[in-house]
Order: sequence, then C-alpha cells, then structure tokens
Amino acid sequence: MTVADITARPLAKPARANGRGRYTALSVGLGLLLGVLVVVPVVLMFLGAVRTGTFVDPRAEFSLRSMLAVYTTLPYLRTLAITVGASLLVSAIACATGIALAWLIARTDLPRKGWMENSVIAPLYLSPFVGALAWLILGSPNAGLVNVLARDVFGMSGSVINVMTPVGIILIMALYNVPYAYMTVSSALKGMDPSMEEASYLNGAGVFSTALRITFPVVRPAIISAFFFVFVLTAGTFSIPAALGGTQSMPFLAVDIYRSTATYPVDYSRAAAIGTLLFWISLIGVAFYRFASRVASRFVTVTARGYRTRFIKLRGWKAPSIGIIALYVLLAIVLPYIALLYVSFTSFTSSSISAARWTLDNFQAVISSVSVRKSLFNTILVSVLAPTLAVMLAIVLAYSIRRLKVLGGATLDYVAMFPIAVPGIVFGTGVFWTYLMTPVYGSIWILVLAFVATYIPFAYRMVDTSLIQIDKSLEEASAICGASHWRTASQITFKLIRPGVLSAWILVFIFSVREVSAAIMLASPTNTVLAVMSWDYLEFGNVQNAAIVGLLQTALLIAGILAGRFVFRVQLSQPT
Amino acid sequence: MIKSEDARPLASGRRSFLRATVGTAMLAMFVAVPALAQEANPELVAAAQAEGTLTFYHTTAIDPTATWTAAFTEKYGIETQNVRGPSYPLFDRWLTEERVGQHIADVIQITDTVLIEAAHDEGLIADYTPASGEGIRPEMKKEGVWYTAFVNAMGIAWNTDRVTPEEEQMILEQGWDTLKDLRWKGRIATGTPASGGSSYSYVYMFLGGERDTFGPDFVKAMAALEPQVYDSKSPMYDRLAAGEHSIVDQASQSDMGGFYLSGAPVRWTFPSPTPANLTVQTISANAPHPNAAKLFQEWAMSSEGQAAWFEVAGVLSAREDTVDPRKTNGTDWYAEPWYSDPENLYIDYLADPGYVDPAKPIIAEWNTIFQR
Repeated sequence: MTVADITARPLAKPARANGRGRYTALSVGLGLLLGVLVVVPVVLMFLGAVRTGTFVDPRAEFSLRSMLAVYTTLPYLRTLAITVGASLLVSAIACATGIALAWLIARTDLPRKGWMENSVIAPLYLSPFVGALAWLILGSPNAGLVNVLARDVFGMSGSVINVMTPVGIILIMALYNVPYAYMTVSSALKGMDPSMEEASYLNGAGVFSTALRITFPVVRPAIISAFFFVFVLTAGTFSIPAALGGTQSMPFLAVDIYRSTATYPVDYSRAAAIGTLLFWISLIGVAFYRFASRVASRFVTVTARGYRTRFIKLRGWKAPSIGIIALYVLLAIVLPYIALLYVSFTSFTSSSISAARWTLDNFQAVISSVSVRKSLFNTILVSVLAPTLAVMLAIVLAYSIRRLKVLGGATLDYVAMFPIAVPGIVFGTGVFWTYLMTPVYGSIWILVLAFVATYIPFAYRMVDTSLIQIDKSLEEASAICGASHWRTASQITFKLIRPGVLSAWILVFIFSVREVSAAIMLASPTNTVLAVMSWDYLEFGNVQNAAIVGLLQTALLIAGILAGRFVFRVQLSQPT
Repeated sequence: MIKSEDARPLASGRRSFLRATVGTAMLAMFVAVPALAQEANPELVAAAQAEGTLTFYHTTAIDPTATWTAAFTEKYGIETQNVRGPSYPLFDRWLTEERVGQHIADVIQITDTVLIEAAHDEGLIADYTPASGEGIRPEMKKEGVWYTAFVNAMGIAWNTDRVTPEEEQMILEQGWDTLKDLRWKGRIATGTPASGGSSYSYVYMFLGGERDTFGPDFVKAMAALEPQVYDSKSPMYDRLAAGEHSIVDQASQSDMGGFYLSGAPVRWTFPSPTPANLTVQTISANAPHPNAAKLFQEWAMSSEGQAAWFEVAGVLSAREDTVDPRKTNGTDWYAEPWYSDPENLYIDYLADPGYVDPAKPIIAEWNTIFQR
C-alpha cells in the first residue's frame, strides 16, 4: 500500500463534538445497513444451531441437541483442539516465512526486488483449493508427480513428500498464507524509521542483533496483527483440508461444517453449531488482530519520511537468500502451475509423465462450454460490483466514524470487523437464510451482498488506516478557506486516501474472484461463478476441467491486477 | 442369495422374477432394433416452446449432462439451465426453495426415490405420466411420480499399472470377496454411503438387502484394509486412474467408461450380485415452466432421449428397446476380453423397509465400522 507516503500526525481532537446530533440519521442508516448485511446472517446462524431442521422445515423444532453435541462431546472438542493447534502452526510458519521474505526484500541489497516482491505475493492469484488440488497432483504418496519422479529418476523408494497428512496440510495452508504475512510485515518495515537501525549499527551491533533487538520489536504489532489474521483465515478454511483427504488426513472444524451440509443426514443445525464454535475461536483471534493492527497503524507511519533506508549488504549470504526466495517461488508458484498445466493438457491425470496422453480437448471443451462462459461473465460482474460497493461502504463508514464522529462509532467499527470471525461457509448459510424469501435469492446480487459483507472488514480497515494517516490540518485549512464539508471531503480527503482505497479495491477484487465457500452455498442456475464451476468440476466432473477453470481464474485476476497497476497505478504492496 | 430367500420368501420371489426380467431384457439388448422415436404431443411442444426455457436440477456429471440437454435444446429450441449437485444437498435445497415459494427448478433428477416419494406426500411433486414412460421398465418407475432415466451398475475397478496380472485374475475370480484381501491394505479406496443415492444403494446391498450374505463382518473386513474414504466419487476415480489407489469399489460403468476412453489404465468388473442404482427424474409441482418440464420428461424417457445419453456415457437404459450402440457393435470396452456385462443386477430393493427408512440406519452402522 502506498499509505505510508502520506504524512501521519497524531489524531486531532474531535472538531465537532457538539455537532454530533446532526449525524444521528447517518449513524442509524449505517447501523441498519450493517445490521442487515452482517448481523442478521450471524444471528440466523446462531438460531439455526438451536433448531432440529431448517427454518422452513414443518417438522423442525427448538432443540439444544446440536449445541450440546458440538460443545460437550469428545469428537468435536478433539477436532476443535486440532483446528486451533493446526491454525496456530500454519500462522507461525506463514508469519516466519513472511517476515524472513519481507526483511530480505525490504532491508537487504538483493537484486530485482520488484520482481521478487511480485513473486512472493503471486500465490494470491491462485484459488487456495485449486492450489491444494495442484499439490494433491504433485505430492500424494503413491501417484504424486514428485514422488513418482523421485522413484523413477533417482531410484528412491517410498514417498518423498505426502501432502495427505497433517504436516502436509499445515504446510500447504501455510504456503498460501505467506502473502498476507508478507504484505503486512513488509508494509510495516517500509514505513519504519530506519534511523534507529542506523544508530544500532553505529553502536557496533551486527545485522542479526539489530534485526532482533531493533527491527523486530518495532514491527512486532504488525507481526501480531498478521499472525492473528492468518490464524482466523486458516481456522475457517475448508477447501484445502477437504481437497487433501478431509477428515481422514486431519480433522478440521470447517470440513465438518461442509460435510454436515453435503452428506446424509444433511444437518444444517449441526453445521451452524460447529459454526458458532468456530465463531468464538475466530472472535478471540479478531480481538487480538484489532488490538495489534490498531497499535501497528499508530506505530508504523509516525515519521516515515526524509530517510533513506540503508540496505544491508548480504555479500556471501546473497546466494543462499536468493535460494530461499527461489525455493518459495518454486513451491508456491512454479510447481503448482506446472501441475495444473500438466493435467489441463492431458486426457487423464497420469502419474507417469511419459505415459501421459496429451490433448487440447479439455481446453476446447471448457472454453466452448456455455456454463463456463456464463460463469466467467458472472465472475467479472461480481468481482467488479462487490469490491466497488464494499469500498464505497468502507469510505462512508471510515469517514463517518473517524471524521464525523457519528453516534455509536465504536459499535459500528466493531460490527464492521465482525465478518472476519465467521467462516465463509457458515456466513454463506446465514446469507442464504437472510435472503431466501426475497427477490435477491438466486440472483447475482445475493453473491454481491454476501461478498460485500464478508470483505467489508478488509476494505474498511484499509480505508480507515489511510484516513488515520492524513494530516487533519489539510482538511481544516480547506474548511477555513470557506470550502464546504462535501468540497473538503471530495477535494482533499478522498483524493489523499485514493491509494489506500484502490489497494482495498484490488484486495476485495482478488477475494471476490477466488471465494468459493459462500458461493457454493448460494449458487443458483443464474449466478454460478468460476470458483463454483471449478469446485463442481472437482467434485462431480473431472480434475482436468477443474484445473482449467482454476487457470482461468488466475488469468482473470492477473488481468484485473494489471489493469489496476497500469490504469489506476495501484499496487498491493508499496514500492521499496 | 439362498439365505436371503429364506428370510424373505415373498420379496425374494419377486426378486428372482425381476432378475429374470432384467436378464432377459439385457439379452434382448443385443438383438434390439432401435425403436422409432416417439413424437410428443404438438400442443405440449407449442406450450413448452412458448415457455422457452427449463431449469434442470441434476446429479449426473456436469459436461455429459450439458451435452445431453443440448440434444433436447436442439430438437425443441428450449434452453436448459442445468444445476449440478449431490443428491441430498441438492434435494434439500430444492425442498427449502419450494417451501418458501421460491420456485426455480422444473425437473429434478436425483438417485434417491425415497426422498421424492416423501416430497410427493408433501404435495411438492407434480403428477404427470409421460406417454414415453410406458417404455420404462415397470420396476424402474412409480407411475405419475418418478421415472428412471439411467441405470448405473457398480462394481470393482483397478489400475492395471498398480495391479499385477495375477492380482487381476484374482479380482475377476473372487468377485466381492477380493475386497477383504489383506493385500489391498493401503491400496484401496471407497466412498461413504452418506454422500448420496448411488453410494448408499451400493452399501445397502452389503449391510441391508444382502445382509445375510455379506453383512457387518464383510464391511469390517474391508474397513480393516484402511481404505481412503471419499465423500464424492469423481475424485476417487481420478486418483484411481492416476495410480494413487490400486483398486476401488463403487466403480460405475459411466465413469469407468470415460476413463477407459481417455486412455487411463483402468479395468472393471461386475461381481454378482451387482448393485445398481436408478437415476430418476420428477417434475416439481410448482415448476415455473410446467410444459417445458413435461416435454423434457417425455423426451428423457423416450428411446431417443435415452439413446442420446449413450452418446456421452455408458450405462444401462431404463428402456428395453434402447441399447448402447457400442454394445451392439462390440466396440470400445465391449471388445475387451476382460469385460463382461453384469449378469445379476441387484435392483429390487426400492420397497425394502430398511432402504426406505428415512433414518437410513445403515449409514450410521457403516460410519461406526469405519470409525467416522
């Protein structure tokens, strides 16, 4: 993000303390909007957990059966412990990798940093479950391409890697979460005043000692924020563990939720009850995340200007460092895309490349498929509408809370962050019930509403951070010169937060193209998106077509990102 | 088989009769002459064309179904909107939509007749008897309610790169008993009966209808091999073709045929008795395009509609007068020495109390055995 370019000053005191009454309508309006978008689906999730059937099932009645089973019986509590433990591990690995990569790229004299940075965040352009599918093709114990090659070429026995184990699942989940950790920590590092590090060097401290005693403590809030963010995202992920062997490989709460809604007896009550359990866990993570990100945003940009970062000379460590980044790029991008391209161009998934039957038929079939074309169109529509509306709402929210100090601002702030705590698949069910009896149901708009609600926390937090960092005196100068409130906002504030807004738009765009959990729950004949097509192909069609649709998603994401970069000059990561 | 006859003489008599009927019908397939396409009522065609579109909730694979419905669109100019889902969640969702008045689906295709009959009792299924339904075998329809589109037999499949010729011979000779052989430990995969009608029907034979022959001991012996259990069968077939698994059960002709044609090293057999399940279609009582739904049902049950399915998948027809042309010509897998048709289809379980029990107790029993 380019937010650090903007000078930040301590927050000015509320300028309009006695004018709050004027914004009551705005406050109530925003409250109602967030209420419908966010609170109703979550409340319905809780209500669904205490019924024996769906809301419209004539035989359903009130019951604590599911809640008791989920909250008090051993299988669920064991799965809960494994989910929390695995998510913490994923977070720790992703953050350690993200920190190392961020430090190497932001602080050392590595060459081609722009290219390296783009490589590090490139896994964002692949839908996580398509990435999991790629790793299944590469690393399943018997037929994984890597294992078969190791056996055929190097005469090794057994399997070199096995992704269908707890360790495998944790590492794959960590791999696809590294970009989030990287972006947060990198942004903090780039915004940090390097003079403290300079002072450390001048006093004779070494690179390692300085990194450990100066750099690390300063960016610690960003690291904590990234840690809990990745933790919450991971705990709610169902597609990666589901694709890599499901419960048999590693029990995971989100997989249990999916199975409750997809296998007999279809039990929405149990799914909702597990959802509430996951909700509390995530809420704790979100509380830490909120705390840390607030501290981080206060910390990071205090005096980020007028200094030139001294890049540490890696000398003999340059080659190993480049090796680490190359290894990450190999594991997160090169190998998965090779696997996806391999299955896309072969008639079946052969573990022996020499025995593979190469064909263009799959591509032709997918490209000429009417359903795929429709879903491509739907995906474009949703991925433009959802981020646009989410960012607009985020601007209004942030401006109202931060600048207009509307009534109940703290509550609005909290509610806007709520959806992070709800896993997509559970939120999808809540959204399903919220709109079932409205004309929105089954249309493209139910997806747009679901995505706006799901991603409002990201958009809001990014826009809010931009707003915090704008020197209020600029707006006050405008007001003193006689500019109206609206004119000040449009000419000064909104122009200054534009980079943050565009970054938020791009991030929500990426999420909207990739999102599968909620979209599966809300799919209808007319609103199918690429992510759902890909999942359906994987589950009920063939892996070849699932891979091709996954590649189409990547193509769409890259097109969107390139458009953002060259048309709007927006980047997900700020320049080094 | 004898034990089961002792246990339920009446039902078993019916079964023997049906088996004989199916057997005769299958024999007749070799010599069957394609029936003349039955043309639908022009008034119905006009009314359906005025509606112009049709929403089809289906459970068969995505692309083959799209090709199949495209043949209907080409003939009548009526576009179809296909929605694919696994039987249980798809049907559950349709029920929810109907109960709140969101009428979206016109025709629903699933693999569980019990659910359809329950919805019929609730008044959510249209009573319609397609004229072409007359040609559907008597045991494969409930007149006016549901009609079978396809019959899928399920057997054992293996990857020839992962199984030795001796092992292949053993599979062919031992039939179902091979699924208890310890040599498959860590090499076998299966599907959970909780995933849908076809897997449920398959497991029902072992734990329900033919319990005296197989029963929990058989399933326990299979569980002892620690199979990889899939919630959905398509990924399991893909992993078999890749060689992740040496052998799988619940192998359907429609899927294995597709892998065979793509050059995958797979073969399959139908041990006796061969569980088969019906893919059935019904019309929603509140179908937004009722005439298009009726016309589609007419077409799907006609010899023309059934023959169109053979263009994309190899299954048995629910009609006696329709046969897979590959079979008639002896091409593809029909020409392979290892292939033979199922001889003793296990299909007359639809009225069994154990099968229609909405609690589906065998799923819980299977879950206990497999510790899931």
